[in-house]
Amino acid sequence: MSLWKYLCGYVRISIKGAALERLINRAAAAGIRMWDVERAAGGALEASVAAGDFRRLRPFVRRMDCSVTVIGKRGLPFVFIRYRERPVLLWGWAVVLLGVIAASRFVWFIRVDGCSAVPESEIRMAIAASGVSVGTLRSDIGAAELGRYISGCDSRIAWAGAALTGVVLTVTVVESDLPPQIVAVDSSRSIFAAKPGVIVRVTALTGSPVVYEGAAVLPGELLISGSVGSEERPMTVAASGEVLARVAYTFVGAASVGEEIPVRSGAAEPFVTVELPFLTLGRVPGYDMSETEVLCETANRSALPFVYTRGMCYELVDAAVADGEQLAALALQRAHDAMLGGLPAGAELVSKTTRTTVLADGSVEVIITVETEEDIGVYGPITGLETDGTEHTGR
Amino acid sequence: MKKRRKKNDSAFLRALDLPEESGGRVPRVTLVGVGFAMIENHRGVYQCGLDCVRLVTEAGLLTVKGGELCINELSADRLCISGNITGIEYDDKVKRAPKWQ
Repeated sequence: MSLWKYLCGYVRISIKGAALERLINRAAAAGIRMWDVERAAGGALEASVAAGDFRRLRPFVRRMDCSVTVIGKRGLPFVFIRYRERPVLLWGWAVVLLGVIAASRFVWFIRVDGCSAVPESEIRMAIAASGVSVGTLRSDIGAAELGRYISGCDSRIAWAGAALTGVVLTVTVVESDLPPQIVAVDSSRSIFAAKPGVIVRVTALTGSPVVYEGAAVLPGELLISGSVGSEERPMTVAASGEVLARVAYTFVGAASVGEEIPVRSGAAEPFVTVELPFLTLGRVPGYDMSETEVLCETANRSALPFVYTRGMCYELVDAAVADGEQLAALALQRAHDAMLGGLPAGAELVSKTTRTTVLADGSVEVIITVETEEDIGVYGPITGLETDGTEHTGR
Repeated sequence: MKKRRKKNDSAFLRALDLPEESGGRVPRVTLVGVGFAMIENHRGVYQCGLDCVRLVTEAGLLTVKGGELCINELSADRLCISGNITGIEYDDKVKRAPKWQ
C-alpha cells in the first residue's frame, strides 16, 4: 500500500484552524483518503493526502476557515517533475536500467563445487566443450543436459548437476568413491612404525596387534603383525588397521643480528581496482618490492558481475634487523613456517610449546615443540622393515 | 422511530445469523497487540491528540488512549490508529453520539 501511495504521489500537509477534526471528517465523508493524521506542535494537524485529492480539499478548507500548508511532496510523480529539467540524467538512468536488464540475461560467473580428485580445470574444460562459457545467454543453457554431459566426461564423476542462480552458473560435482585397495590374498604383510611415538590407540582390522596403548615405539618397530597362526600351524595374512600414536616434533627458527629482511619504507599508495569479466579497471602501484593490504573488497563475489577492491600498497626495502623484539618475531615466524611445512597432513595437533633463546652473539632462536596424534603405521613385509622412519619429519 | 429501526435492523441480522456489525451501525474495534487498532463503522473523529483520539460512534464516544497516537488510515467508515495504545473505552457521560459534521 505504501508503495502504491509512493507511485501515485502524495503531499504532507499541515492544517491550522478552529475545527480541524470537522474538516478531516468532511473530507473523509467526501471520499478524500487521508493517512498519518497526527497532532503537531501549535495545535495544528499534520496529515498525508493523495496528490490528486489535494485540490478537492479546497472547498472544505474555505468553509471551515482553516489554512492548509504543504510541508512535503513525496512520490514518483514529484521525482519525475524534479527530473523534467534534467532529461539527460533521466535517459542515463533509463540506459543503466536497460543495461542491467540486458546483462542479467547472460551468465557472468561459473562456479564449480565438489571437486577434489577431479581437477576443477577439467570440469571447466568440459563446461566449455559443451558450449557454455561466460557471456552465454541464460536461456541457451539446459541445466539437466549440462549435468549429464559433465557426468559422462570422467569416470570418477558419479553425478554432476548445474543450477542457474541469477547470472551465476553453479556446477556441482559428486565424485565416486575410490575403489577399495585390492590386496592379493597371498601377499601377507605387517604394519610397522614409521616414526617414534607413544601409542594412543590400535585398531587392527586384520592381523594381531603387538603393541598396546601407552607403549613407546621406535621407527621400524612391529605394530600389527601379519602372522596370526601358532608355532605348529603358522598362518600369515595381510595386516590392516590404524595405529594412532602421539608424536613429538621440534621446529627451529633462528634470526641473527644484521640480517636483512624486507620492511616497509614508508612510501605507500592507495589503489582501487574493479575487475570486470573481460577487463580490469585501475591498477596496483608497481614498486620493486611491495606489500598490499586490502581494505575493502566486494563481499559476495558470486552475486555481482564485478569485483571491487580498495587497498593500500606499501613499498618494501631490505633493512638490517637490530632490534631484539624484531629478531624474536622473525625467528618465531620462521619456526612457525617450518612447522606448517613440516607437519604431515591429517595430523591432529594436541599441544604446542614455544621457547625463545637469545644466544651470546645476540641472535635469537625459537624452538617450537608440538605433539600430534596421527597414524604412524606403514606396511612392510612380514619379515620386517629394513629402513626406519622413512616418513619421519621431526624427532 | 430511529430507535425502533435500529432494533429492527439488529433483529433482522440476528435472524440471518449475521454479525451485528455487518449492518454498519455497531462499531467494531480490532486491537492488534499494543501498537495498532482498527475501528470500523465510526461516525467521525471527535478529537485527535497525541495521547488521546476520540471517535464518534453509534454506541457513544469511543476513546483510544495511549502515547504518540497517529491515525494511519482515515476513511468514511474505517479508521486505523497506531501508537502505544494503553486503553480503549466508551465515555459514560455521552449516551448519544454527538453530531460530528
